[in-house]
Amino acid sequence: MSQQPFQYEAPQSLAELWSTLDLGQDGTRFLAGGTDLLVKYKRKQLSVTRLVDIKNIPDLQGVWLDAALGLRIGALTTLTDLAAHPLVNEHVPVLAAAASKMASAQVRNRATVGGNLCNAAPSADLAPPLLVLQARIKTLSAAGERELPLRHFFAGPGLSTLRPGELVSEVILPLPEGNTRAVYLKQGLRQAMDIAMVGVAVKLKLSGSLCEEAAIALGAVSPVPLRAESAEQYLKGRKLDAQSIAEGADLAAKEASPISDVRASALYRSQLVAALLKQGLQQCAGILTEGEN
Amino acid sequence: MQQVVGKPATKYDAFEKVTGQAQYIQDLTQPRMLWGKILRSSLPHARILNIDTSRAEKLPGVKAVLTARDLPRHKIGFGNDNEVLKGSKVRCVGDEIAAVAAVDEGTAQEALALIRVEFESLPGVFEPLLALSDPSVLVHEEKGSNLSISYQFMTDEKGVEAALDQAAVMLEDRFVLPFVTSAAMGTHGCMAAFRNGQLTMWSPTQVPFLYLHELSLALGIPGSRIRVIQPTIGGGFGAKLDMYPYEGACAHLAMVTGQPVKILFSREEEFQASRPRQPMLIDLVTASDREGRLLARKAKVICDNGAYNSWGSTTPFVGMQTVSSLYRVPNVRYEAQIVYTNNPYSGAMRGYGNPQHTFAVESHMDMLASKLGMDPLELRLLNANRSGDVTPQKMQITSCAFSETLRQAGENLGPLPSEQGKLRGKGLAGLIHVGGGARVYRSDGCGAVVKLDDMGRVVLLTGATDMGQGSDTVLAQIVAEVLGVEIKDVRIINNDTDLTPWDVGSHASRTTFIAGNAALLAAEKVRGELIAAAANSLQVAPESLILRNKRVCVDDNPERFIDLPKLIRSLHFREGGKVLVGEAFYDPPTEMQDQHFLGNVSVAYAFGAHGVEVEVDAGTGVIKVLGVTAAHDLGKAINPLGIQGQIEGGCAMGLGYALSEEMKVLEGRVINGNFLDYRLLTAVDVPEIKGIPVESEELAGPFGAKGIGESCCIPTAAAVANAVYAATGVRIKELPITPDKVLQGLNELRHVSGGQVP
Repeated sequence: MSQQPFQYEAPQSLAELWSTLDLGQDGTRFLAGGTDLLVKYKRKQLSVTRLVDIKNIPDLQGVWLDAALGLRIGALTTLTDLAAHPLVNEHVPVLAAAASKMASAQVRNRATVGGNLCNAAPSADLAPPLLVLQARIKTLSAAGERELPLRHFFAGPGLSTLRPGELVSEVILPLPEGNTRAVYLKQGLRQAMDIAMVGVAVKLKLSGSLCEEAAIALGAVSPVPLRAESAEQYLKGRKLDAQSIAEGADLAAKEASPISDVRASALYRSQLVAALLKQGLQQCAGILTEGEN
Repeated sequence: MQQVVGKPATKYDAFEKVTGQAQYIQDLTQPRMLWGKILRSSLPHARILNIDTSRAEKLPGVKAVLTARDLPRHKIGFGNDNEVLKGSKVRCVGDEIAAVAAVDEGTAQEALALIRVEFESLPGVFEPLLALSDPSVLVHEEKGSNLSISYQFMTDEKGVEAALDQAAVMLEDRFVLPFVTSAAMGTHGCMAAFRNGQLTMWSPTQVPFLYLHELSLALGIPGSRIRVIQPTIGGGFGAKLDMYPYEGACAHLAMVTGQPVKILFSREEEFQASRPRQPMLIDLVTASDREGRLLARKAKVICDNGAYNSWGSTTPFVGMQTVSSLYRVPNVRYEAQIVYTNNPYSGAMRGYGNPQHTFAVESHMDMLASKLGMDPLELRLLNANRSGDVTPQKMQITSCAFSETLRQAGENLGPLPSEQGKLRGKGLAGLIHVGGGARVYRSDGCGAVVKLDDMGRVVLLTGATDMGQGSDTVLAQIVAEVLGVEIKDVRIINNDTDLTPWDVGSHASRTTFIAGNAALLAAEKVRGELIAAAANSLQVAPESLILRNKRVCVDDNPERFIDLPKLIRSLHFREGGKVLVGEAFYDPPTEMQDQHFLGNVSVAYAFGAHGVEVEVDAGTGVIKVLGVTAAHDLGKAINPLGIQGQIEGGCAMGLGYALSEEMKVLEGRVINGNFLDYRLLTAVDVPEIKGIPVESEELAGPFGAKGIGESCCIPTAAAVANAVYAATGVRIKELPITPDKVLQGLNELRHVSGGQVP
């Protein structure tokens, strides 16, 4: 079809990448899995004049445990690998579970962790679990590297705080403390190949039924994936029972500012935040043992 | 004892399909072929002031650019309200304005971008009720109103009113049905070539002979000079009943360039510019006596026709039958209005208006049961159609196992025990549909020729189109059964109007019944000749002979036989010899409806019932379908495996209609024209589907068979709605039944009952 032609290159190392990168060029895009980028390009929602395929750069790959920092996940890790990786399953199973609920097997084989974050969709499924896991993002550019908390990474629908010429190289997760449980609940209109109408991640540090710490993140209900701070504060130090769970769920629903779109109405999204968070808190607290949604 | 009929048979073309050898329109090419593209309107309603094609024409590689100026102004479509290319006005997004042929697809696409169209945008009308009440926006000015067609059927008017007066229970509700589209895997496309003054058109039409006729009218060339060849069809579902404007444009491009031209739809075009199922508003009144006997039904239906008439504007024919004839109901009044809007124009889609009407009628049956305090199955059984019934529209019910299908699908109805936070229930819905053809056209016939050659090969030439439903397999089984050969010995030729005898087309679930009867008759003629020749050769009485294992043998002494190929050769290779050909044309003994919509349009009627069990999450309103039991009175299952496939596919389609599918149209524009946001259910969403064939042995059907193709998607949505009600107490009267609607319903109940609902 008649698309604008673009220049394609596939550097084999970071050094080669920095030496060829021309920051002055507006339509330069980094290509990883391409599952968002190429669709947007074909739909003419994105101008591409230069496509830099970063898939062959070794420094962006791999999952490993770092004694000081925690779990480090290379930006090029595919969703399939994320879902299956032993380290991920051992230390942050909620992330593996979230990855396995995304898109289709074919898409998961291509799509990457870095791509899912850089695409910055409000509904990005990895964002809520990573937010409650207190993920940090490591970025690289010709000027050097920097690190920032994931919660400072998203700037709006499709927008991140990445600077021109900067790319995400890895996601760093501090290892969760003991007595911590986390779940991610996603609701779409069908059980596969769907984008969340609402996604809710919950992480609780529990001492019996006492909630010592609560982290709650919501997807698809505001311009960026967000932490539900008032609900977190409310739950902190409280005994988890039907009343506190209902109250926490209602507080989180109030923090959401969803829109009505082709996928769901704003009202329903707010209700879904409360319903899913209620389920999530119950599951973490072991009040109900039923399976995830 | 049948050898082939009634035994599960792998689809005739399964191997070539799964190995990628089947040739779809996308695979076809011709020497010197050009690629065609259509410039479509981006506006829903606008006057065309000027079209400047000069820049496109100058683009290297472009061979032709056509606009309405270049074409004869023949009207096309049902009711002649459409044109191949629109010259003065566009009436919907996607309307065809110009056609380009170029050496490759990219160049053709580029040329479209160079065509400048000056529009004067007009206000549009997108709501059928508004289109009827407010004539300030007219889709077709010359018609003076936006009403395209109206239908009215009535039994004695005083009778209807009297029945309503004496009714113990009367329900009155509005049911709302959205746009949905069949989303066939095989998108539309065609290829045209002019050679020796003859047009050859490759098209995945499901009605090749009607298509040929329409094409001849559109182009203004005699039908005798048009040949239609059908490639393998990747699904039709009704959307391929119409001759589309782009197909006329493609033929013109081939004519002016002298080169073959192919046009293919993108998936986006498939959503915007193929024919969806029509949205309807159905105001239904159902009345019964105290015991639950139906006394009267009244329906007032508004159909969103979109910008032009397609065959779909005739779907009230079928919907009316459901209102008048699903269950015994003596007094009926039915009105439907087909209303022009600036939306995409609706066509036929599996069920032809019946899924919409059955949703309303079968929701009402449950609501009636609830009001009467009756068991929903008992209410249905009390009113179920029976053999020998003649319905108010003079439909004569022959074979009928409706009650049996209701019982099979209707076990354990109502609320069911469930774990905390979940609500379970099971609902039921039945259906009636034509099952022995449908005389909606002057002929409902199909021709067949069975030809045997000296190698013992059997060829069936049939007019019947297989668009994926599996009719080729069924026809091969029928011929194989009659001639005592295996399915693999039978070759089907059915895709070339130069070769095949006439057929009205694949619609109305008619192919097994009509084309099956034609194939049966043709095969029996050949069989008669074989028996006579073998009787002569073996010196036995003809009635003592049977055909089996490619032999003609003596019934009680199988050691006395003659091989079929040998017998054929003995008839062929001699002085005064002959080849074995049997032909038949089966046109069923039915009548077209008169102007009052009375008449027995089908030889037989198909019945069935779906039972659906759901689990609703009380917190989110999310519905999980736990299982579907689909019992169908199909006369006789000629291919039980094919039947299972039809039932599973139909139920998946019905569940999508019930729960997740909706083509969202905003000011005439499809806003979810992709497979992410147009939610077909996936393999993990579709539960176990238990298909139960109920064999009522229809005397007029081939080996007792009736049609089933459409039936299996008709009652599913109503059964889901009834199941959701059984589980939650929430009655949803508007499809799709989304979690959002269910949750709002639950919240209302909670509000009213002060927290009685979980």
